[in-house]
Amino acid sequence: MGKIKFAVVVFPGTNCDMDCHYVVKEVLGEDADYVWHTQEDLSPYHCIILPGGFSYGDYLRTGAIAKLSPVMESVRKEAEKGKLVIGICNGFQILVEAGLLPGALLKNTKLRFLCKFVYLRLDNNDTPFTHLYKKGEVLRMPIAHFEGRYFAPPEVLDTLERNGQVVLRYSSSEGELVEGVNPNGSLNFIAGIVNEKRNVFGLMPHPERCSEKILSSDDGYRIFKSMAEWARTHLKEL
Amino acid sequence: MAKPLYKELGLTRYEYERIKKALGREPNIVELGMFSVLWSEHCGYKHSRHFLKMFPTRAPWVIQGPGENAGVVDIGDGQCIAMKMESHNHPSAVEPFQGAATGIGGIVRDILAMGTRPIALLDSLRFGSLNSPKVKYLFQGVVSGISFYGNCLPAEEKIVLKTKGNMECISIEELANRFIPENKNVPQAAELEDVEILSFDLHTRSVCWKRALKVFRRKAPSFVEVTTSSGRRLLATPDHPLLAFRRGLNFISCGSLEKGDTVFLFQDLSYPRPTRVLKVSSVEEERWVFDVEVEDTHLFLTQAGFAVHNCIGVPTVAGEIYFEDSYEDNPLVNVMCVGLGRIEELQKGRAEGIGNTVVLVGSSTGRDGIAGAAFASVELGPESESKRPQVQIGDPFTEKLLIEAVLEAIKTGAVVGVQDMGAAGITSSTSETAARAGTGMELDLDKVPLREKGMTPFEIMLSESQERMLLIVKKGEEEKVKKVIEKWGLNYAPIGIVTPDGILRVKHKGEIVAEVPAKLLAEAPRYRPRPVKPAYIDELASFSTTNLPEPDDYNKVLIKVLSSPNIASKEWAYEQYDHMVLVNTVIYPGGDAALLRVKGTSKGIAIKTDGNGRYVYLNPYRGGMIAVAEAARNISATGAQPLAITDCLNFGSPEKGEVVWQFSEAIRGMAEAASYLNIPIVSGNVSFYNESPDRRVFPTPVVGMLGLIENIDNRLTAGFKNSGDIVVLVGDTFPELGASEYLKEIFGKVAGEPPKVDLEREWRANKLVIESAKLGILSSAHDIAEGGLAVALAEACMLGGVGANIRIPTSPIPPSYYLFSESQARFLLSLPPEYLHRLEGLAEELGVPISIIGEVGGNRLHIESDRELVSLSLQDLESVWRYSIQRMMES
Repeated sequence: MGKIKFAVVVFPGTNCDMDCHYVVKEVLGEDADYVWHTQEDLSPYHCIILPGGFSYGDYLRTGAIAKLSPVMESVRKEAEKGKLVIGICNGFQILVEAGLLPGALLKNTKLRFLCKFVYLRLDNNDTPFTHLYKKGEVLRMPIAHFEGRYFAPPEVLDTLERNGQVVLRYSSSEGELVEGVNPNGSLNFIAGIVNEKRNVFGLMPHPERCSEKILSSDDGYRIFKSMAEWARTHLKEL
Repeated sequence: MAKPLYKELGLTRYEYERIKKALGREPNIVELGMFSVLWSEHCGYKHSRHFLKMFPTRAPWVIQGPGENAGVVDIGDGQCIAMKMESHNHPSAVEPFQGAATGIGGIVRDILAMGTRPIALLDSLRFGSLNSPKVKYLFQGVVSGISFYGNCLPAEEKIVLKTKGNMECISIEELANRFIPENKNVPQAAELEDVEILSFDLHTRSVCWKRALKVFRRKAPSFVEVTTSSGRRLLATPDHPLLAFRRGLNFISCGSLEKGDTVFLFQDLSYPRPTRVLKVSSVEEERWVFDVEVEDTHLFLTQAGFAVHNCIGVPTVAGEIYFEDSYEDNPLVNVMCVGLGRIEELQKGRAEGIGNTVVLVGSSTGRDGIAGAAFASVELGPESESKRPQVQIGDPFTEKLLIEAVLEAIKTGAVVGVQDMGAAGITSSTSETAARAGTGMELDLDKVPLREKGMTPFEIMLSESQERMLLIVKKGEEEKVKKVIEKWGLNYAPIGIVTPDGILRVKHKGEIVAEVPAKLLAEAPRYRPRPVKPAYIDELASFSTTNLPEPDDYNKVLIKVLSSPNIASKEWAYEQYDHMVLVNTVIYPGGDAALLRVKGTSKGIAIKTDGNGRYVYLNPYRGGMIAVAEAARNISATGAQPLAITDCLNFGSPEKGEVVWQFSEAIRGMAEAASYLNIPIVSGNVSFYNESPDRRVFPTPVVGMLGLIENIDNRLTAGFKNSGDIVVLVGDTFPELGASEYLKEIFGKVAGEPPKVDLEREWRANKLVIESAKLGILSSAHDIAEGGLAVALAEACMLGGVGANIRIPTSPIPPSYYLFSESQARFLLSLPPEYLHRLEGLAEELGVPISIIGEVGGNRLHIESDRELVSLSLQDLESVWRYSIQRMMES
């Protein structure tokens, strides 16, 4: 198969679109197109990225309006077909609002916007997004959000944990889940989860901001690389 | 007797007579309004232009010097950098959050107007002592204001609605104005037609569209202001119900709330958060209030809470914050923006081409910020609080759309001129572009999209509504531009045409309402007031710093200095800004200067703002030189070559001789340093009237500097890296504690002479660091500034996460002087021992004195002379340096 085709969805107010596009095209060497939020057909793509930003100005709960836009119907459709969908930061919030992932993202416990590097423990490497990592590996990635505190009712959390759907957790540099390492108060230290089918991934940290050595960490690169490799072996030529 | 109208508008009698003479008639009210803003200090540079001529502005790499929307510098490969700094001091003193947010919006549009993409922001902030509650409020407000424009905080209560299938987000007042007939002075209700409003369904606990039935407007005579522990302030009528916990969960009225009550706020819409009431105060002020009746539910949604992210997608990469009592009433908020573009795509703010179309793009025009520019040009007094309506409301969401729309419109090739619409809105943007091109314009105000009904020509011409730009579009090619602008959902309004006669002619409802030569508007009178040397200068300079007692405990003293908010880490502030979006930032905030890569090349640009007002206060000439010299050292410490300066000059009232003296001396110092170091000043801004009846700010010129590094792999950072590296001090240390942070923190004095400046030494020291960076022999480089060598050492240890063992000479300089002197032209370097001889060779060649003072290693900072002076673990250092501001803000 030739190059893997990524769609980078742009809502009014998305602002990490250029960064995701750059990483896919220039760093990963695959294909990427910007896709405007009015687009109704995403079938020509293997992978769909919902980048960070403040879709529709976040005038409501973050992501609450974006979920109503036409493109989200096609995201849902492609996800059902088994295509890969990744939502980063605001993209994660949109996936949650749209019901493609369970739970909710609330304001950080400190009620402040936070932009900084954090440590993450990779708890599941058996997904299309993380198969190039080792289980238990500690990663260093930046966060930049106001609303990243993962919340879900106990029964939903139980299901997530039982199914191994929790992929990333905030941790210490040694991978421990201890006091002081959870920047936003997320339940179970959750930083990223997948759906049951493992083809929809939402995470608060920004892998596109740490995919090159010069940016002080390239720990995010293998997420994009994993997606491309998985797509190459598991998805059909378009 | 009532004041004459021109005086009300801030013009002097002399200026009024001058206008009358030039026009050959009495100006009408619209014209007078136009003159009043363009001839204000803020727009007209009346008192400063004469002195600004001292600045060097040219160099082979300067493409655009002062006089345009921003300065532009060539960085090779056909690429260029646009740069500009601006103040938003006065609005921030009154309404910190919105003031700071619009500060960013305006400067971003200046960069955009050059046809370059904004890629970085820097904040330079000055506040009073952090112990003052008012300062804390302003600091928190300004920081979150920036992170709002940065990160979206609520401005006014905005609601989201759908009419005829279109979704929009407007203020509730705007909704009322659309449906309620013009008479504004009576309480009213109006039926709404075909309006759905985004609401919250209590049963299903989900967001849904509900039909809105009515909108109400009434006057409320008083309000209650509730401050909560989550940092939210609510202003509501006393009868407004709030969900609260008091003997169970109940709705109780705001008026009966008490300190300590728990209320539930719909900050997170799905899960109301409990938060404790810290303060309830009543506000006796009559204002209009609004409400909407929604089908089935009363819970329509307002633009709630604190939202996420850097909305405009431009990272805030660096800056500095100083705290000094003089800024207590009048904080300084300066913002610098940097843009990257291609030389052949540069734009100018010129209305070229007779018959071309004058287009207003972006937001609709409302009544906000009317005469804001004139407001920025008066001292703050008790009545400033009542000036809140003059602070414009910023909307970062629209700003981001505007950036993309304008850059795309420029690519069509149909745009011949671009101008930001900032201070004095339509008036300034049209007259400036026409004056620069020597043309005129005919404007039709009926074509301006308005946000409110019944706006007068005076209001339309002077409105400072944000997120608007002026484009001059080639005749016959308007469709291309229109298509682009409308794709981004913004207004495209052709409001006039370029004319040959040099006259700005304004029509409203078929009548000419103003007719003035554009050049006359753009050329405010110049004043040259006589400078008077203030008496305090000699008095404070005579304070002797030669015989200060040595401390008993150097550890304690260093800890005290490190905990000073001027020295302590500003992490608390910069963590609240997105400094990474666009993935260019290679050196993050907290180092000497930020470093951004230029994608697709091996180049990088370094940027930094700096300006120590205390030095300038005590010796404006020397302080002006140091502002330039220190910024240059910050740039060099990353390995980059300083290229150009933008500045923001913050001073008191220019109508006072003492301020004029401070101003002219500071400019003389800056000009001399900039010329000697060959770093031209390509753009800038002057902010006068930074004083209240009780206090005048320290004269504070802030320097924003740009540097270029050809190979970004040669970059340097401040933190020590490897155990065993040699620590080298570059430059000579003199016993200079005048104006120092040490003197203030330990002896409580702001006095003495700031350190001496020797520009030749500066030049050579910079050269040494830049050349050694190119050779790749250094492990780290750090500028030595406030707090002296001791602070620089502590920072290098903390930033690198490794300790150091340092030996300093026992004489002739006493240890406290050696450690805390703020002598200029110094750097702290570290390098592997095997490269030492190469550094020594280079230093000798350049005639720069260097001393080996120790080596990197361990997990303590250990400093000794003939005895142990300092021995502190990294943890000891970190716990004060990194968390001191956070502790002060959260206490």
